[in-house]
Formats: sequence, structure tokens, C-alpha cells
Amino acid sequence: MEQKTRKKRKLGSYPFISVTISITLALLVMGIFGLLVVHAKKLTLNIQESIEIQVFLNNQLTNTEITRINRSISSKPYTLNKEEGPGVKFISKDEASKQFIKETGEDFTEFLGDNPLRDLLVVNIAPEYQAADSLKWITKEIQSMNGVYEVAYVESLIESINDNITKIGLIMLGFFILLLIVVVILINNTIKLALFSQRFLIRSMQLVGAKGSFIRGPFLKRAAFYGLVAGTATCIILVSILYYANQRIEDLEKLQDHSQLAILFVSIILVGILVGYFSTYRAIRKYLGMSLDELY
Amino acid sequence: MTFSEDAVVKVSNANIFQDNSTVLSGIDFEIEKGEFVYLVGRTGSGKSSLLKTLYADLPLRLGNIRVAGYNIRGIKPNEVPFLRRKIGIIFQDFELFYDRSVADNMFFVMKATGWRDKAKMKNRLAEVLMRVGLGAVSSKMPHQLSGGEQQRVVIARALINEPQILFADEPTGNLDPDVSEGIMNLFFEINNSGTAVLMATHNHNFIKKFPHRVLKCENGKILDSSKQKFELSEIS
Repeated sequence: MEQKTRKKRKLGSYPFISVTISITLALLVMGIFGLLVVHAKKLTLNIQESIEIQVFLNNQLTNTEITRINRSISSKPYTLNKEEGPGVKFISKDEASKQFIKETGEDFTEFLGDNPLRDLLVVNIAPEYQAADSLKWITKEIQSMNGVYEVAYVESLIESINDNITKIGLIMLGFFILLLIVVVILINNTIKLALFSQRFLIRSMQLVGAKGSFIRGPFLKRAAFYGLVAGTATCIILVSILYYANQRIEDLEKLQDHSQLAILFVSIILVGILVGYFSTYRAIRKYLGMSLDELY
Repeated sequence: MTFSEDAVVKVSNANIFQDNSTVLSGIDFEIEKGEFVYLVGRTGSGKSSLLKTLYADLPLRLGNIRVAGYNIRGIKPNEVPFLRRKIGIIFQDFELFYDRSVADNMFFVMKATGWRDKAKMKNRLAEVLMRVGLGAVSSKMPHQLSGGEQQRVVIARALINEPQILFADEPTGNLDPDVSEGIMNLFFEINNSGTAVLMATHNHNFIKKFPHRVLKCENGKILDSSKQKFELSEIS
């Protein structure tokens, strides 16, 4: 019968693959949730940026007067600054009527004899000014401008959006903290169990007169390295998941903020390294403080 | 009790605990520099606990003990490694590392105790191996050595930092009588060159053959052959 020869494991080494896989899995759970949060954040921002108020202008305003109002609103801090410029869009009453006719198929100017619609400025509001109170004073301020006929927005819709965003944000934060605790405990226990097999080596080092720092050093370096490998493996898996999801789900890429994804990946690697490091530190400190009888 | 200036170990009115029960109480003795002392007693009489207390593995809660210049009572954790560099421990649970050669076993101890200079480390390795009568084993793995040779390597490891005293717990426990005698002779040679030895043993044949001072743990006390006579045959 063929005899299998196994390479003798070096003392001081502990199961690299199983520890790294365990840390990777724990980090992966956190990473997937992190991806969800990053996407949700961008989605929230998209929804918030689409919140708008409508500023109806007086009839017979000259182009210069309309431009003046437009500029005045654009310069306000509550007006959202988009990449392509201030979030103020002018819709003339002719454009509005054409759009209305196109949508309804009825030419109301024929039987009314006139276009009753008004020139309109659609203003996107910056997310930090979207609270109900802020919207009230913004409305008042714009209303008081010369040439403005009326300011309107759908108050209940905005309130319900803001309410839900706050609630979902709180739930996600709670869930994230819970997951983080679970991940820390899982990694901590994995490392503690792995180091249990090393307790007599630690004791031997103590008996020859090695200082705590000499004993801890190699273990800490190794734990940080395992954390780094696990964190990097997690990031590779997450990138693969994202790549696959982007191919399958249309427009998903629009919800991905690359800088936030980078922060997420760096955080995952850091959590891997730090939790590995401190769990090892705690476990070694525990074994360093034990007498022989306690070790058995 | 007055203590000699030359004492390596000074124990005064100390209580030795195993877990929460006292195994030895109110004990007093001292071991001079270069002295050889046997420690005997029945299993569970407190020999191992006493040795563990002497090298600060078990805390000393009552009384005073001074070993190689360190007060064991209230010794700070960061002082313990420095105490252990001044003593040598030869203990059943403290084996060689079987995954590395004899030389690497020795280098490991040297690195752990602050040796940096490789040339000095190699010199010291040759010195201690010669001293235990093993000139040419440094590249061998421990499993390639006989039991007696392994024990000699263990002793060599304990000698690396020129300890003031060796604490040995049953150093010949697993060896046949001829090999054991060789190991005992090695201990005497080391002792003759000035290192004190405190050896726990059950083997009273050796004590008869190589008579030295005996400390006996009995009924929670220490009997000292330098102060009172007692029967060696009672040792078991």
C-alpha cells in the first residue's frame, strides 16, 4: 500500500488556509452589505437630486428679466449644482404647451384662443435644504422676487421621501453595526482557536526567558498578513460580483460611485488586518498570563 | 533566619499553593552558589509547585523568595523573562522543538533571549554542546538522537545563558539506568564548575550513590538533611 508522506508542520504555524478562508467569509458578508449601502446611497442621492420646485413667472416678462431671475436663483446656496451647471431649467410657456399637447393630444389653445400657461423655472434643490422647514422659507424667498407669480412643490411627496430615507438609513446603520460586531467576533474566535494549538510553544518561549514582545511579534505579523490576504481575496470576490451584476442588471453601473467603492475595499482590507492583529494580541496575552496547569 | 550573601535561592516563611490549596506552608531554606540539592517527596507533596514558584510560573502569595537576585513575591511580568535568563529550567513539559535541528533549537533560545551576533551564537552553541558531551550533533534533528542525547541537548539549552542555578524536575525520569547515570554525572560536572542545581527526583538510588543535601516535602513542610536526619528509604 502506498504510504502518504505528509510534510511535518512547522511549530508556530497554524492552519493558514482555514483561518484565511474563515476571515474571508466573514469579511465577504460585510463587503456585500457594504456594496448594498454604497448603491443605496447613490440611489438616495439620485432621488434627492430629482426633488424640484416649480417657479411660475409673471406673463409678459422680457428675456432679460427672466435671465435675471434665473441667475438670481442659480446663485442661491439651496440650488443644486449639477455637473452641467446650476440645477435651474427654464421652460417657456410655448414649450410647455407643446409638451402638453403632445402628451394629451388635445390642442387647448384652439378653444381657449390663448395659451394660459406661464413661463416656468424648474429648480432642483440641494439635499441639505430639503427639510420641510427649509423648503418653506425657500418658497417664501423665491415668491418675494420680482416677476415671480407662484412657487409650487409637492410637499407630501418630499416629506415622505425624506422620512423614508431617514428610516432606511437608520435601519442600514443598525444592521451595519450588528454585522461589524458579528464579523469581529467571528474573526476573533477563529484566531483564538487557531492559536490554542500554539499555547505550549508560547510557554516554551516563556520558559527560556523570551520577552512578551519577542513572542508576540511573529504571531502579530502573521495575523496581519492573513488579514491582508483575506481582505484582498474579499475585494477580488466583490469586484467579480460587481462585474457580473453590471453585465446582468441594466443601469446598475450608474449607481456605483468609484471613490466610495474604493473606500469600501480599503476599509475591508483594514478591518481584516486590524481585527486579525488585535485578536491575536488578545489571545497571546491570555496565553502569556497562564500557568502550565491553566494551559492544560 | 539569617541568609548567606552567597545564596542563589532564599526562601523564608513561604507558602506554596497549588490552585487554591496550600501544599507547603511556612517553609525556609536557602541554596548557596554552586550547591547541589535534591528535592524529594511523594507525588503531590508540592515538589513541582515549589519549583514552579521558584521560576515564577506560580504566584507566591505568602512569604518571601529570592532567586538569582529577583524577589519572586510581587515580581512584575516584565521582569520574569530576565529572571529566567539567570536560571536554567529542565522540565518534563518543556521539550525540544522536533521540527528543527539541534542547532536551530539552540539558536531559537539565543534569539529569544536577546542574542544578535551570529558569530557569538555559533561559538556559544559549540561551547554548550561540547560541555554536555555532544560535539557533532548540531545539524541533527532531535528524533535522530537517543533519549539520553536528547536530554543532554535539553541541558545544553538550559546552559546557554550561563545560569546561576538549574531547576530540574525528574531529568532522568524516562531514561534507562545507565543513561540516567551519565546524565547525573553531567549534572555533577556542571555543578562542579559553579552552577547550583536543585533537582526534583524520585530515584533514591542516585541519592544514595551520589549523596548531597536533600530537601524533602512531607506533610506540608520541608525537611532539610543539612539540619535534621530523615530516612531516605521513605522517599518514594
